[in-house]
Amino acid sequence: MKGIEVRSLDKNYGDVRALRNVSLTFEENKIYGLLGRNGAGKTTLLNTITGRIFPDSGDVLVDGEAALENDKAQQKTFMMSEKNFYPEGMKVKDAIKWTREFYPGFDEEYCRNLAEKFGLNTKKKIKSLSTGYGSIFKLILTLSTNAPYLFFDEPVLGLDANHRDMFYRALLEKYSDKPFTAVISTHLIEEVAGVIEEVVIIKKGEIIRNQSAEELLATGCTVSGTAAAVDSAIQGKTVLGVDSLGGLKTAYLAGEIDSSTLPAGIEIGKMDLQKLFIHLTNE
Amino acid sequence: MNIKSALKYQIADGRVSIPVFYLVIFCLMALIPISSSGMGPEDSMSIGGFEIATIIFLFVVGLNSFRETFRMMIQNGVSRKTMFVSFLLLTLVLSVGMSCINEVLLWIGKAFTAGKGNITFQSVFEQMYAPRYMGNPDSIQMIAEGLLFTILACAVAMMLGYFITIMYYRLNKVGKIAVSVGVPAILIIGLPIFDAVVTGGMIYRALGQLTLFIMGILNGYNPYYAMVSALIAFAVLAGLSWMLARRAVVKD
Amino acid sequence: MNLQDERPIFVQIAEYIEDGILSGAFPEDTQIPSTTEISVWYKINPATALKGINLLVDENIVYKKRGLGMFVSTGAAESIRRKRKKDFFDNYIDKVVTEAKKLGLTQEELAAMIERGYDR
Repeated sequence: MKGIEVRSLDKNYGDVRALRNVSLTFEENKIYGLLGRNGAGKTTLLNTITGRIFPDSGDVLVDGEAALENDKAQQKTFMMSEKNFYPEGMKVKDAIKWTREFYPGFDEEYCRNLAEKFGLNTKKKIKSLSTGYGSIFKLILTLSTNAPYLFFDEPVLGLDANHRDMFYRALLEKYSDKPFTAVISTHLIEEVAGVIEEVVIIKKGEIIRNQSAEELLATGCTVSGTAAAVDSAIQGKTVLGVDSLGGLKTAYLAGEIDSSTLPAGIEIGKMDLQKLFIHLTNE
Repeated sequence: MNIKSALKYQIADGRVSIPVFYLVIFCLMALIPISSSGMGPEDSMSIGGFEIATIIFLFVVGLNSFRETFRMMIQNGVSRKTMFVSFLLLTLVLSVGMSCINEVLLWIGKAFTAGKGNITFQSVFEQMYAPRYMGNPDSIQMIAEGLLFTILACAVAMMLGYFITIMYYRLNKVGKIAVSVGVPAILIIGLPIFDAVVTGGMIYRALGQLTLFIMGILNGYNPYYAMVSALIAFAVLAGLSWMLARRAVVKD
Repeated sequence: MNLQDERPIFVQIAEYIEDGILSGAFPEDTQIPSTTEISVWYKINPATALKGINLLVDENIVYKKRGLGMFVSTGAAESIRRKRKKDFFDNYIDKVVTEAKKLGLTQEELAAMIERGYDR
C-alpha cells in the first residue's frame, strides 16, 4: 500500500504527552498542511516518521514497510527542519554533493538553478548563512532530492515575502511537473491555505482534523450582523467562536446554515482556514 | 547502496587529518639522520614506537566518529545499523591500512640504521616481545606477528574512542558529570589510596600480573595472548557501542 | 483574485478564464493556460486549478486536445454571455435593488442612475 501510514503513535516526554494515539495516512502525491500551535506536536510527529526519535508505542509504515531503522524506507523520505544536521564547517556545495550521494535521484541541475534563482551562495559555510538563507538552503535541497515523501518543517522561517512567494511557486511547479507527497508544517496558515490539498490539525498531541481543505472549509461558515440578530440566528448551532466590534458581531459556526432561515441584515460568509484553525485550537 | 555511501562519507572525514598525521611522522623520522649525524662514537640511540602515535590517533578518530556523523546520517536517511556497520568497516580499513604503512616506516627506519652500529630502530612490539625473536630478529614471523598485533591494537583503540563518545552522547547531564569526575577520581585517587592503605599494594600487583598475562609476557612472551585479548576487548566494546547507538536520538 | 472572496477558489478560476474568453484574450480554438501555469500563478493547489477548468469542460466552454492541453470551444463566448445574462438578475440586479432599498432610493432614482451608467 503506497503512502506513509502512522499507526497509534504515542510519545511522552516525562509528564508531557507529546503524541497521543496519533494515526493518519499521508497519501501519494498530495500536498498536506500540518497545522498546530506551538508545542502541539507537529515536529515530534515528523521526527518520529523520519526516525530521528523513537515512539513509545505505535509504528510507521512507508509504502507498506516498517520505517524504523529501515534504509530503504527512509531513503524515500527527506525532511528539512529548523535544526541544522550538517557538520560544523561544511559548505553548502559539499552538503549538496553528499545529499546527491545518499539520494541517487537527486537533480543537480535543478538544484543549481534554484540556488541561482534564490541567490544562494553555495560556497558559503552552512553555519554562516542567515536564518532566511539557512531555510532556503534546506528547502532547495529538499525539493531537489526527488524523494517521494518530502517534509517541510517551517520551510519559510526567516524568508522575506519575495522568497516565500518563490518557494510556493517552486513547490507547485515541481509538484505539477512530477507529483510527490509534500507535508508542510507551518504557522503561516493564510499563505499556505491555497497551496495545500489536505489539512491535518494537531492539538495537544491529538489529531483533531484530517480531511481535504475543501471539505474542512465546508464544515463551517461565518454569520455577521448586529449583535442581537446574530445571537438569535446562532441559537442551537455549534459556535466555535465569536468576534465583537461595538454592536456588530461575527460568529463562527460549525456546520452549515440555511440562509433562508435567517432574518434580513445577516450576512453569511465563508469560513477561512486560519479563522477555523484559531477557533478550533483555542483553549 | 547506503553502506557504500556511508563509508565513503566517513573516509572523506579523514581527508585532512590523516595526511597531516603522516606529515608529522615523516618530519619526526627525518630527525633521525639529522640527530644521528651529531652523535659521537660512544653515544647510542634507540628510536621507534611510531605505532603508539597511530594508536592514539585512531583513538581520537574513534572519539570523533559519532556525534556529527550520526546527525548527518539521520538527515540523509541512513539507519543507525548501517551507520554502525560502516564504522566497523572504517575501523578495519584504517587499522589495516595504517598498520601496513607503519610496517613500511619500520622497514625504512631499519634500513637507514642498518649500517650504523649505535642506533637501533625498533617498534614497541619488538621491544616487548624481544625474547621471542632472539634467534632470528627481523624475521618474517616477527613482521607478520607485529603487523597483526598493531592492527588489533589500532582496532581496539578506535573502538574504545567510539564507545566513549557514544556513552557520553547517551548520558544525561548528571551522568556525564558522574563519569567525568568519578572515573578519574577512582582511578587516580581512590584506587591508589585504597590499595596503599587497605590492601597493601596487592591490587596494583595483581593488576600488573594480569596485564603481563594478557599480553602474553608471562607465558613465554607469546603475543597471541595479547591478540586474543584485543579481539575480546574489541568485541565487547563493539557490542556495548551498538547497544548504545541503536537507541540514540537526535538532540539539539 | 483573492482568498477572502466569498466563492470557492475553483469557481473564481473558472470565471477568470470565462472573462478572458469574453474579452478576447483567449480566442476560440486557442489554448488556455495549463493547470500548472494557473496553480503557480495564483499559488493554489493544482487539484483546485483542475477543478475550475473541469467546471468549464462540463459546460463545454473548453475542451481537451489530447497531448496538447485545454482549448476554447467554438461558440464559447456566446454561451458564456447567455449563461451570464440568465444569472445577471440573481448576481447583480437583486443585490443592487436590495442595497438601493437599504439606502432608501426610489425605483425612479435607481433608474436614473442606471441611465447615467449607460451614458458614460
